[in-house]
Amino acid sequence: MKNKKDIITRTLEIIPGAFSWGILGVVFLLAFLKPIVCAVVIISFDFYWIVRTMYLTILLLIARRAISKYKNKDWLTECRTAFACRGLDKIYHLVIFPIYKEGPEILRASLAAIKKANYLKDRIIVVVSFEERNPIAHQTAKILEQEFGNEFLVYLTVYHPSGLAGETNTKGANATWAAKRGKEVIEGKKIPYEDVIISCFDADTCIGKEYFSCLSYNFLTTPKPHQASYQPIPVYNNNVWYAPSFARLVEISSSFTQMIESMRIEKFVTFSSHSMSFKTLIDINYWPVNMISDDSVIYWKAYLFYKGDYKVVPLHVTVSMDMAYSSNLFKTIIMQYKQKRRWAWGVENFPYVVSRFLIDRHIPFTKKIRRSYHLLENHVTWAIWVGMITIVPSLPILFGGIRFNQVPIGYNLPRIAGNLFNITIATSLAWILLSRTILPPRPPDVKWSKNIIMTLEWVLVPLILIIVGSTPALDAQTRLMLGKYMEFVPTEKHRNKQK
Amino acid sequence: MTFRRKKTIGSFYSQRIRSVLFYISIIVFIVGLPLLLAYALGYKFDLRKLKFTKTGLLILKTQPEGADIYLDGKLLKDKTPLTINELLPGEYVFELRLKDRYPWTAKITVSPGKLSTYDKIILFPLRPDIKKLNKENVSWFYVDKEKNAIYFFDNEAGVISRSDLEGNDFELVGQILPLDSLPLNCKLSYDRKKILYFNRHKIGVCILQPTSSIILDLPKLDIRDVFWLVNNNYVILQADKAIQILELRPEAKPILLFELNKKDPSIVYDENTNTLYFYDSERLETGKTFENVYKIELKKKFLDLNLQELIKNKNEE
Repeated sequence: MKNKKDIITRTLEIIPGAFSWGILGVVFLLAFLKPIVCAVVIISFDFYWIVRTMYLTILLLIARRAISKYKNKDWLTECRTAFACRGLDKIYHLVIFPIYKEGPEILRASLAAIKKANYLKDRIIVVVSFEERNPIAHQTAKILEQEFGNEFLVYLTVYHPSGLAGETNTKGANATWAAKRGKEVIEGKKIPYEDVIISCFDADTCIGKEYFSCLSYNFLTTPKPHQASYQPIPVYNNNVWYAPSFARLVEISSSFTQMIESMRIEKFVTFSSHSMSFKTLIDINYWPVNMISDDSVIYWKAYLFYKGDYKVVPLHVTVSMDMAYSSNLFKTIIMQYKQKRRWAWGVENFPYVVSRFLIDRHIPFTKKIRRSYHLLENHVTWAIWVGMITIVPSLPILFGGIRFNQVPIGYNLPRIAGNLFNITIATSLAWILLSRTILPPRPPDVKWSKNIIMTLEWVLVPLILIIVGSTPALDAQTRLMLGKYMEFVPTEKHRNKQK
Repeated sequence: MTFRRKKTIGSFYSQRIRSVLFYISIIVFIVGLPLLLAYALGYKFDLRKLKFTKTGLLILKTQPEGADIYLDGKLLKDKTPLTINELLPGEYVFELRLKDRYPWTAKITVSPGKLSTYDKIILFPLRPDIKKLNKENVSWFYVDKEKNAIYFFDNEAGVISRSDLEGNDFELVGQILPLDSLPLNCKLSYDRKKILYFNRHKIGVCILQPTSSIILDLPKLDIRDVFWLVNNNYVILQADKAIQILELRPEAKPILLFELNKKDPSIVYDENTNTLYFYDSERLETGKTFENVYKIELKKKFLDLNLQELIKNKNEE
């Protein structure tokens, strides 16, 4: 017999999928039974989506402007000159890289980016944590140690053993192992935890030159700096010129989504590579070791620990990562689909957070409701929006019968839905222009004509929307609803074409 | 260790801009959605009544397209095909005009929330496109649609010519013996090697390529129609009150298949099944008359009984 806690958690796991399928199912039934009501629902949703898209596109423009504005800012000088940052000399950065199968060609660039950073190297501790089960881990570690072993205050290689009690094969387990080994180093050097900022980077994360300076500045100037995570904007520029169109468009859209999210402070949650106070990390007992979405769960753990007084500070600097692609288009689509499904598995945060909200007695009720609603709305909308603006509008026309087609809304629905869809697509123009502004310089071995391809490829957007727009989210929610829990599958990194 | 923060994006100011944008979006949604739904549901603000009124829809499609549309005498800028949305309920006079075509006019009632469809309007030409097909004088003609051909009969010259359906590829295909009056009709045999033509008392048969012609004189019969039998050598005659069969050779005598009660019965011959359908009346003992449709499978009844022999015997009689 399951206990009450299990039943509540299981119920909460069912809710997002039930909502998504419920909305689609109700709309589908209405198309047969009440096509006029169905048409009203469709037009309302489509209009909501247009307004939302416009709003978010403006936020994207503002975020992009912010990145441009601070792109060449010398944050270290800012820290040193500003009377506000007198604590800079105390700050240490602990950087951890949880590694699975990535080889030295991926990690070398990431470590080199840290080496090039405009920051004091004797304030940087790097922990590279390999999975012990990876047969080439020791070989890779040796190569990297030779190259970077003396570049930082400490360069530590550790191996995360498999099968530790309570752990599953997730990035969070490895990250936690790395952080604990880093803690031993910090204790050995008698550095107070509160003076350490930890950054957890994916293997392919190449930071910008000013990352640590900007991070330090924000840490030192943020009220309650230990009650905040610090989130850079991920851009997938490492192999952008070599990736196929499909992967490039999807990943650019992902970058844009993160830029937009960085403007919505009250909803902003950590994603992928991020930084936070080391003291806080220890207080909340590190990353979850058995959840796939460790990057966002860490935020919720801190949020719950600090009774709702925890936030994510957007760092308007970028970190460059790899686009996920494979040897052919089909494999690339599959890979992108799986990656998006893994991201969408962040829906597991909903039962995690709400079940803890239920027993919490400190966070204001309205705040709990708002955050729960944001979580649910975010995932449900993700799962249904493509279907609602592409497939669903045709349902009442197909199944509504002659009577529906002989009333004004029957005539107007396809035109209104079509125009609203076109406006949604037209916002891609803004995205096309913006996409050009976040590109790194064209490598010499890439032809100039690639610029034309990278502009024209945006016509693929409707196709991409259908494949990886909503389906991965619906897939993830359905799995959670049915209790078929996903396992962590790392994304394959590719730089084989790059010279 | 925490100090005063400078203004950065993500700080108070950008969040204030975001808040303004957020509330503008909400206002746009709250104001725009009812208007959009009203439009979708066919509501329009009636300036005369100063209230929202449910409108109707009208679909106009013409063949050919591109006709000018006059609504209550006023020319609209759009042409057909056109769907006119948001028409206030009521009666409208529509006139569709296209150059060199008869105009189409109708009084149309538009009902609230309803779609009125006029999508099968044909605008007929003022002067139909006529094309002359024959090259010589023509007495009558026969159209063979299956073979895309027209046979032209020239009674005076006594010849049959043939062309395609466009009047091209003319050729002389046969010679005919003239009847004493213009034929009632003419029919091509199933093998397309013979063509017959007939009037009330005579049947002319022209054999095509090599050409020859005969006239069968049947003064006692009042011929109404003639059907080829499938073997292309016999014909069924529909005479005044009889159905007869006749071999197409000189001196051949028709034999009576059925004597009918009804004058000018309707006859249909199906060459695929070699079946004859006809319509005749039946007088009951009560004196009442019934109209019936009969079917005769000629193959079963006659052809299997050696039709040629039957006719020969009949002729000898």
